[in-house]
Amino acid sequence: MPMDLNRSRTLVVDDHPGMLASLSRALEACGIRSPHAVRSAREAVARLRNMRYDIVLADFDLGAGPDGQQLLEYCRNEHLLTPTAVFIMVTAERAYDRVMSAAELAPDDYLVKPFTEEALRLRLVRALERKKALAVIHELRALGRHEDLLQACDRLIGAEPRFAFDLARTKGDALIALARYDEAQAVFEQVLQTRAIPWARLGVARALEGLRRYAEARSVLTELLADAPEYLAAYDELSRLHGRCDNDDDAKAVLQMALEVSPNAVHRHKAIGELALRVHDLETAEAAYGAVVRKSRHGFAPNPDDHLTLSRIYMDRSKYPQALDALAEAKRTFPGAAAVQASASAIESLVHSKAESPRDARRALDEALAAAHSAGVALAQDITLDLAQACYMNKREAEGASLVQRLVSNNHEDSRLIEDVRRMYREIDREEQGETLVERCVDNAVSINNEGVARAKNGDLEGAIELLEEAARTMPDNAHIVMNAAHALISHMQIHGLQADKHERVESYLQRVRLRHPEHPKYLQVTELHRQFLQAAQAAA
Amino acid sequence: MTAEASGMRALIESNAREAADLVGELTLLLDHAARETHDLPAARMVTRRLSDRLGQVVMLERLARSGGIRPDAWSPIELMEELEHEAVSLAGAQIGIDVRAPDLVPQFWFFDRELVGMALRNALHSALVHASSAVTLEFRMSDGYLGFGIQDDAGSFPDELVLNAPLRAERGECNGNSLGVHFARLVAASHANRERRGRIELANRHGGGTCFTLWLP
Repeated sequence: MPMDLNRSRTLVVDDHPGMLASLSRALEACGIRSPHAVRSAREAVARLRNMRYDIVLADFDLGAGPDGQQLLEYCRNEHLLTPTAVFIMVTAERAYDRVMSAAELAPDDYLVKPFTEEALRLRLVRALERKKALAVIHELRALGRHEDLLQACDRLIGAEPRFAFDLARTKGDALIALARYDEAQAVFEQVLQTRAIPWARLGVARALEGLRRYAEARSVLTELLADAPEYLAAYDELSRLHGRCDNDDDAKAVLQMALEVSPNAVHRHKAIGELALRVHDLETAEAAYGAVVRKSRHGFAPNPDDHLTLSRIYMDRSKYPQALDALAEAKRTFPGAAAVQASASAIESLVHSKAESPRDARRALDEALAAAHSAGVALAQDITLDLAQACYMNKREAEGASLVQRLVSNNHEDSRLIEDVRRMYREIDREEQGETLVERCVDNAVSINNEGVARAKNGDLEGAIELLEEAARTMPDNAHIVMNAAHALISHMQIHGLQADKHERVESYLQRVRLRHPEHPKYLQVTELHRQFLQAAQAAA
Repeated sequence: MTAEASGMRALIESNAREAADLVGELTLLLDHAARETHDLPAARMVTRRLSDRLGQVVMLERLARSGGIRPDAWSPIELMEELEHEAVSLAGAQIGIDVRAPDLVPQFWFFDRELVGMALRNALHSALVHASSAVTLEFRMSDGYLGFGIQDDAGSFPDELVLNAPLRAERGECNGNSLGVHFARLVAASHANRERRGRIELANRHGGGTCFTLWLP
């Protein structure tokens, strides 16, 4: 059935005026009435916020500013496209691999220049038809409803065999999201029996990683990259795998290889920076985060954390003027963000302390604490640690200790953070004092958790709930404790039936941990337990 | 530089030279077409051939890099539909376009859509240039291979192209049809499935005309 293009609301994006006019004319020749034409990704976003378009046709290369792929990813993350809207990327051959990213962030189709009006029309019509046929899939995937997504895939595979491979890929990805790795592996391997498609090989690797068969996963990815050295998603996955196995040097090397293929990918520079920081390779970290800040200046959403991290790296390398410049840029770029102002002032205090400007250090610390307290903002771990250090260095020990206590109590299993805390105390020559505080906080969290679990095992679920929920209140970011609180509540409901107030608290705890620790093993375990409980409750009803 | 790399480099240079010639031809044609609109179809065909050459330069560079092929599951029917529309658009009233397909054309086949599309468009443009009244597009299935066939009704392939002669491109002697044929050979050969590899077939038809088939495993 032909698609009625003249009723489609269309946006075309190209920074080249001649090409923009030609594309607009070509769209009109396809039957589209009055397409809207803009010359940059930012203008496109402004339009997309005001109107729901059916079709977006964007060139990948949009000059200075975000490129077409960044535009697409922003649109998907900000839900600026309806489930049935199609996004077609126009790209030169060389940019192809930057376009073909993860499935959920990929365009609906692409056109490699040069192309004819007829090719444009056919690709548009087919993309619209496919989108319409698979609308429910896109909607469920956007909502993260992976269980429903699986059922929808199975239904549609029978009804729409022409989309069998798209659906198989979606199904495999959903199974991985649900941590059902064996089944995911089976789905991808079934595809591979037909042909060795790169995304299916990547899917097998991800499933193997989930099954903790790391060596096999590495082997699959290494072979994939040997066959398809421009398949960028495979580099990302292999780097993550190396990082998981604490092979940080290998992880960095893989990302460097990916940057040779695609040098403008901000997230890879950042990943290298994070890896470099983990092993205290400050030189590499400075180069990486410098690239992140530079390349993000023209992006949609520069991240203040990147500026702050860069400033800290400069500080650690005793490059104090550069550190202050980076902090000033962060404050200028994010003027209304209280957390950024507080964080930047905390680091500024440290910089001034190290540069032996005590008056400036005290002023900046006052600004930081005032900003943090009055706005009630939750600071990132590293910033909290910076603030604590600044407090100690300005003789405000009680405040420093309080910050550290909160930090360690909420992250008692995070060995990297604990080590960072210990390092901070070593830097300020308070090693023993720090060790005492850390041990006390960790022991407290562990004993509360263990006591809660023991009560639950001994049948005292009410007691377990009381203890763990109180702990979840005082240590709200402690994923393990919060999830044990949820676990206790679910166990109670499994015996006594679904209760609205308890169920609401379970959902609230899951939501809290999902936001900050979505890959925490306890979160995954409790999520599955919750799913099974709801299924059983529904069956019984 | 290896012989293969040298041959690839020569092919790329030949494509670039031909592209330059086509730009010159197009410039003059369009100047003339500004006065005589009946030259517009010819001008359009020249732009297509120019696009082919420039596109091939980029794609040959991709093929020269290891792992340059990007196969995925694509609909051969949709690809043939694009070719048919392209053919009808360029043929005008003089040349009839016919499409033939066996009853069971698979919903999917595995190939690099851009490379195969370029190879087939090359062959199609060549057929349209040489045909007198008819061009036929067809699917063939044989022994687990899917074939995309393009036939015209006039002209003939040189014997050495039909006989799969060694690459003249190594000596930089390719132009026109032979560039397209060599490109199609490379594209076909880069598609492999287990022990099977793609290939092209060229044949001269009795009574005039040529038949080009790109077979994919």
